[in-house]
Amino acid sequence: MRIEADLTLCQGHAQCEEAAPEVFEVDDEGYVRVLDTDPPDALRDKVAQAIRLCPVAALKLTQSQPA
Amino acid sequence: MSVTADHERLTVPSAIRRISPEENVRLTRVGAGTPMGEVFRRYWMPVCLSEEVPTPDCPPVRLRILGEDLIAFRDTNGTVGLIDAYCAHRRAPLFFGRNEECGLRCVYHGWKYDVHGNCVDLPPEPPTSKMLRRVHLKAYPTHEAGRLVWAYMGPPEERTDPPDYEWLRVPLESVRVSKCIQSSNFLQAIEGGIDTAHVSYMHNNHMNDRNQLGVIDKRPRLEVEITDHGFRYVGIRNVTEDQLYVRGYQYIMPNQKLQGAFLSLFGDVSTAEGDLNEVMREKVPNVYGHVWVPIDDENTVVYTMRYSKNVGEPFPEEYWIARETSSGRGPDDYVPGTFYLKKNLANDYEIDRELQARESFTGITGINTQDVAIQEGMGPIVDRSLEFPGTTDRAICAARELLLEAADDVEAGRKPRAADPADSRDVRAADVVIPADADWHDLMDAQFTAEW
Repeated sequence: MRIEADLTLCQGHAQCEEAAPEVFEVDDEGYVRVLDTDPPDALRDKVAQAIRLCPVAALKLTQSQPA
Repeated sequence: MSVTADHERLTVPSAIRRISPEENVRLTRVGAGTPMGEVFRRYWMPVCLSEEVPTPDCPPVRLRILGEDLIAFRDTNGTVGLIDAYCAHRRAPLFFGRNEECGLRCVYHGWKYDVHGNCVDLPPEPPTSKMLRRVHLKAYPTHEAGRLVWAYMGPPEERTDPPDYEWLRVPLESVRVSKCIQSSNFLQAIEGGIDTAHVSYMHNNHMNDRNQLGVIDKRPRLEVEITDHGFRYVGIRNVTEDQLYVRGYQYIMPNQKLQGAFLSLFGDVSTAEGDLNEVMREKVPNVYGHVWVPIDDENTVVYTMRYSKNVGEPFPEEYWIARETSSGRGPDDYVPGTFYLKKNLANDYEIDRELQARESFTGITGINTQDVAIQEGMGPIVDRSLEFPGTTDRAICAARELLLEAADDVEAGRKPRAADPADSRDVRAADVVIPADADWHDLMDAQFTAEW
């Protein structure tokens, strides 16, 4: 699992941070920071929820990079 | 970046000349990104009277300045904010907003802004939302002085210290200001304000009294001297065989003038005995002036101020009201609740043709109403390429040259003349009767220097 955030879309709604605080944080300027771009599978559901909740569709899940 | 040292600026007035249509456009447009609009955005400008936002959490005020729609409000702490007139959410007018608890709250959905334009509350959004960190309205820094709220609307990196004109250092009981809106471009208003020659004609309200100080000599000789703040100039009139009336003005870049009001222009000087500077003395000798602030290309706010010439002397409210009434800006002259005059283009400024035939050169009552009639009557933006400027237009031509120079300066990345408040802080104006064989510089230089 790999997460990409499009900062041109992000508006700082922080719904991702609410859903998966281990992975997402909205900074002081109101932009999302992905704390862990390749989170463990255990967080898969939370990340999926975060992506679904983003009101501006700024988050995207891509395939995990090979180690 | 400011570069001035290696740049040559005007030091003497240019020849009197007619300007081109292209220069006229360059001089008169004030929106963001226009040459003159950018000049104005290098100076602090008055944006409203302090009394328009008198108390913390009072109702906000709708303003339009340099073509920008803005809202002024005084927050709970007493600080005046000047922000975009429309909410960042869906552009609802903040004029209807609630000024409460250190911010202005839009009544559409409750979004709230502080004086810096920062969004501080977004009640309809989820409590976990951090979107307000992203929401900033356009906001300009403000400063209060001289009964006015001032703002700087230019690039932050070019911002100078707040203005420090003499009249802004005067205690409030010694300075009075008013605000009036006229429907014309700012420049034709400035040009009227620095045109000493018309005083002997347009403002002659007593044609049968030919011996008033202002009209006894209708061919003033103008001397203009370029300075760091703009220019000073005098209109010199013969009073008697051995006395001259020297009426001194200051033009402070880009939109302010001061003139001496030490002497009364009215009253018969031919029969006066003794020193005319005493006999003709104003009840409260004062310095008088205007700041003309563009609302947009075709409308202008005229701020008028008077302050006592003598340090420590109050300028009484009732005397101010009397002078304003004589100027056509008395309490009853405004459309109630506005800064517009009842006498306007639609009613021909209530010109009285019988009065005009008998006594008053214009037939219009109110000294500045006469000015407004002419300046608005020219049309919103006068076409200066059609003019025939004469010898008495030296000061007007100089102001245009300085404004064009400032436009060039700003375009080249230089600070325009007098953007630094230090260049105008010691400036004042004076009017004096002097012996005909004297050089006015010798007798007046000291009087052209601030005392407060």
